[in-house]
Amino acid sequence: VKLPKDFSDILNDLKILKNAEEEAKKIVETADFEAEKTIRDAEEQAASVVSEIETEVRKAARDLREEADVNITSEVENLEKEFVQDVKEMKDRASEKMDEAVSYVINRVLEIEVQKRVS
Amino acid sequence: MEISSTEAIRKKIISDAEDKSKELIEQARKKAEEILNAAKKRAEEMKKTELDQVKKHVEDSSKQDIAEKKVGYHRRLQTFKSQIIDGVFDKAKEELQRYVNRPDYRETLKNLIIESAVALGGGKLSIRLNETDKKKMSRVTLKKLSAVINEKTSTTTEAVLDESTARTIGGAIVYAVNQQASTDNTLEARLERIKEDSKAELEAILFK
Repeated sequence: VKLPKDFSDILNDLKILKNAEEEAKKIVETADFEAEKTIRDAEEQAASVVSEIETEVRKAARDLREEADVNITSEVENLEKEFVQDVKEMKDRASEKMDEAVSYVINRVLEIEVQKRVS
Repeated sequence: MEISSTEAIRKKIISDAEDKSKELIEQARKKAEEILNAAKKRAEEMKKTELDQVKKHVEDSSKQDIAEKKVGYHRRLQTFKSQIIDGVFDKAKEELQRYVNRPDYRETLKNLIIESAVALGGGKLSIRLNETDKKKMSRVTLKKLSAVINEKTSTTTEAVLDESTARTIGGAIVYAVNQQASTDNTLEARLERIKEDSKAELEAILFK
């Protein structure tokens, strides 16, 4: 290792070191800037990921509701058909049995307790 | 080759700065990765939670809609059944209106009076009839009826016609004068009583 010989050498060395310090500072600042940018980019990307998923969820939810609506409509149509059929069968059966029902009611009306004992 | 101490220090400063720079960038890269992974994880969890909620809501809502429809149809079916049963009673009433003009109704009327009178326990009785039936109830008939009631209740019975006229297609309203009690044995009243307690039997005849 050579030692500086005179004051100008010392000044020169100090200058070199000062420049090196400045260069080092720039290197760190650049790295710092790059690091911050990396984090900012990651945060933006994260927000974008969340936003994409939110959009995906909204679409999936809409699809689910639409699918459910279709299923409900179909099930309600089937129920309506069954109901119409039930009503028809009920009315047909009641119509066939109307006379029997009327006779039952008349018999009950004329089912007089004393009448049995008297007659 | 010799290196001056200044050059060595300079290189060390730069080298330290570069190391620091690499460290900063590496730390940032790791943090960025963590941020992104956390966001992905959070988003996936949010997706699962929200979709589960939507699925549950849609399922519950569908079940409720269907259940409400079924209840609605059941109510409408019950209404139709009630209407049909009302129709049976309307027809029965029409039949009874024809029946009261038949000769055998006279015997039925007597028995309706006896049934009411026995329920009241005999005694002094006032019998309210419609205009047509009043004409069928002679003093002799009333005496005979009183005798039958007397025999059945073991109570001295005197049945008389009420001055008022019953608004009915047939049957009688019998008043126990001393007890301030009465029984409504008009055909309409009997129909109403039957309507109350014969729903199950009529449903069995009509709908099963």
